Amino acid sequence: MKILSGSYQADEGEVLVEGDVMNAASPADALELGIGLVAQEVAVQPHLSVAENVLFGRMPHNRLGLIDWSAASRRATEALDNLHLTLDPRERLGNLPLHHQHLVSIAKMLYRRPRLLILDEPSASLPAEHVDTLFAALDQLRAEGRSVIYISHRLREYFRLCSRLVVLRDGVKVAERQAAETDEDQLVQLMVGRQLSSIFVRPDKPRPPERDDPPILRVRGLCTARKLRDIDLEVRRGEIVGIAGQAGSGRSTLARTLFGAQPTSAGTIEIDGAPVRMRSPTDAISRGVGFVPDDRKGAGLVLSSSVAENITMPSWRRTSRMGFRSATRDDDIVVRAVRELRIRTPSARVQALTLSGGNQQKIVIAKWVFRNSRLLILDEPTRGIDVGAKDELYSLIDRMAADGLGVLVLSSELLELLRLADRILVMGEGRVLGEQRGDVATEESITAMAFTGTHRAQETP
Amino acid sequence: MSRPPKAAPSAAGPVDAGADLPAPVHHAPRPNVGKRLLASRVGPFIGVGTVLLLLLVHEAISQPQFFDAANLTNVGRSLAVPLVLAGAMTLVVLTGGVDLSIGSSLALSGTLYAKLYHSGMPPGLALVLCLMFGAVVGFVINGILIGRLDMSFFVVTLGTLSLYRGIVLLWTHANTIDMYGDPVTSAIGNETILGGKLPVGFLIGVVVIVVLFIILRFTTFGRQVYAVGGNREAARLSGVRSEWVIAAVYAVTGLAAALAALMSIGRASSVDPNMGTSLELEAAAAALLGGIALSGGVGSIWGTVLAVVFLGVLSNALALAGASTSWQLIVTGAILVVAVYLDRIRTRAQRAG
Repeated sequence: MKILSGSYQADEGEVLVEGDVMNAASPADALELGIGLVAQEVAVQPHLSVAENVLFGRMPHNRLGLIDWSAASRRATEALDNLHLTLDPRERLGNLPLHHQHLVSIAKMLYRRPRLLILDEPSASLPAEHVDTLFAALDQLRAEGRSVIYISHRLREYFRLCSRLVVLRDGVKVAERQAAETDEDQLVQLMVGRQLSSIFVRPDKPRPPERDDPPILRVRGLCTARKLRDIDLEVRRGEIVGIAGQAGSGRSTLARTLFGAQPTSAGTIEIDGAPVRMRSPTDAISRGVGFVPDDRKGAGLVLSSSVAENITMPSWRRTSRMGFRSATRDDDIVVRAVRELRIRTPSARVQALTLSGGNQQKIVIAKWVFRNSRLLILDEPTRGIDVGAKDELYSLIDRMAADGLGVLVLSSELLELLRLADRILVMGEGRVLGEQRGDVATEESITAMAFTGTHRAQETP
Repeated sequence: MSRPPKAAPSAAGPVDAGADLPAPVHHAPRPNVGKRLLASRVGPFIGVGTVLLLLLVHEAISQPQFFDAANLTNVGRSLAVPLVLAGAMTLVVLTGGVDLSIGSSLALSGTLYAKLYHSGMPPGLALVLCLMFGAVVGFVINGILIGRLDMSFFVVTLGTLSLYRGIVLLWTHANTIDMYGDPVTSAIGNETILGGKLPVGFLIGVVVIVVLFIILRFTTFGRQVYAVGGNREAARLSGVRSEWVIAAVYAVTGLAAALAALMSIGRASSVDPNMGTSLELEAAAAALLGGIALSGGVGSIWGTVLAVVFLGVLSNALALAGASTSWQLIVTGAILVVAVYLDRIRTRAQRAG
């Protein structure tokens, strides 16, 4: 997508546009060739008017070479009419709701009449009635002989809209089908794939015994102002609970909220049966909660600081005496962490940025293991990590749970959750859609639950 | 986690430490040796140290009077204020900020001291109040606005630069206040010990640097300064209260400005409403030249010290050569720009790995 639209350059291979090799160095070049992309994230100029956004770079001019505002308003209104959208063209776009902004960015591309329009998850941020008008506009585009590449995670839409379906998985085209010749179930299977890498094979592990003591974490009716709706959740000692969900399902918001990094608007959080308020990460840490964020370099590590500083950071309050660092206590933690987690580093004094991704992630986990955390929240723990390091991290997480830690793993990689979790909760649109047992769930059963929001597979008794 | 881990049954075999580093990009231009040296941790020391040595050799040949005891005492006395200010500025720059109000804050605290002194308060008490005032104002205004309310350090300290100076001009009616005869500031800023060779102010500057070094190296607060500057979000998610760490470093510059004010008053025997003007640029130039990363998180206070000495010697050499103060401003400005350029090179080289 990004290559086609000129944002990225292909490493190999070539793109042919009507028989000629495409040579687009930028989105502007691609647009010149008639290829337009509407990205998933709304990319608009919030401080400009609706008309300026729709006609961006193509504002009509009068004879004096000045912008002809009345013509601009007229043309923008016409372009929006295609999508059955009535907006004041002079309104500042940032004042409008997000789905209107998204429609304006679609109208902007439609106005350019591209020969090929690429839409990435357009329906994710649109209410149902606008999706219908969008489809009508796309039908019209096709009727004019123009082409559309449509990307979505709502399978039903493909059958409403598309003539041909291409399934990509991990950057490889795995299947191509005529829409008329396939159905949703077959599509799910194609998307999930069959070949299981051996690292994802679930070892035999006993289900954690039922206990009478209160769970480490109990969440009831948790809401945030914008994203989460009524989340119920429990994690017991020694249990690994997985949370599956697409990007935008509220997965990461849930993780950050439980760690006090984002405010809640309703609901209760209990640690060991006692209600707590998580106003800041400091609160969560003092209750024995640890958090491995999905953005390792942006939020997990201070890359410019040393390995040792990163590992000991959450423990500073504990290891220091009267505000002075205790080298012996710190060294003790660092030596144990490097040995037990097998962190490969020439020395604990080198900057964290010199280590490989897998070893960096071990540092982020070590921070919490040696802070004596009782609950560990892992958001995409193996993102951007090679296969061998992944395998090592999986065994590490299993061991930590066996030692009595409660673990909450959030991941978009289903194989990872099936490999690790005792229970898997499926999230979508800020809610928990359902729950499945980790040892009997399959990729199909979870994908079905995520995409349809219903329980097609067996449910936890 | 008490058991040592067993060898992981890995399908891919043992993992090499560099296994998942991105493949090296071959066409990327490698920085040449000089640039790589500048980019390393010792780069600033070697770079500034070399230029300082060359300067001293030049002085020895062309202006031998530089090494007269009287002139060296003079250099030491003139280093006192820059050491204190640049040392404190180092903490702010380490958090990724700059305190542009440090010169105006100096004038404000100095004016307060003069007013208290002339109201008949014992100078010792006035001194303590002046230092407390500097720290509290730095914490409450710059600190809270930048740390707690997350406002841009640039805009806030540019605002307080103007605000404090305006208050000083109003308060003094733009007149110089005579402080002749005040034993306390004179002792701090003007007197010497060891047979008239070692200025007390220089000694205080050295003590301040040592204290700041101990704070940065051996206290939790010091490590938090580096962590917050390196990655504020990661530090916050590791339980560092970054908003208070940032507020605290502006208290340190406020306190340092008040101390520097007392030294300046002692040297001049008066409070000039324009005192401290453009000292913020000298302090920032020293910290950046000394290798403190403009983006925060990286650097050592010894780099700052070396840069302060270099700037002080350069300024003295210019004065001996008969250059006017205008030239010193020009040199400071040029050095600030060069220091930022060197910072860019370091950052880029570090990203290239």
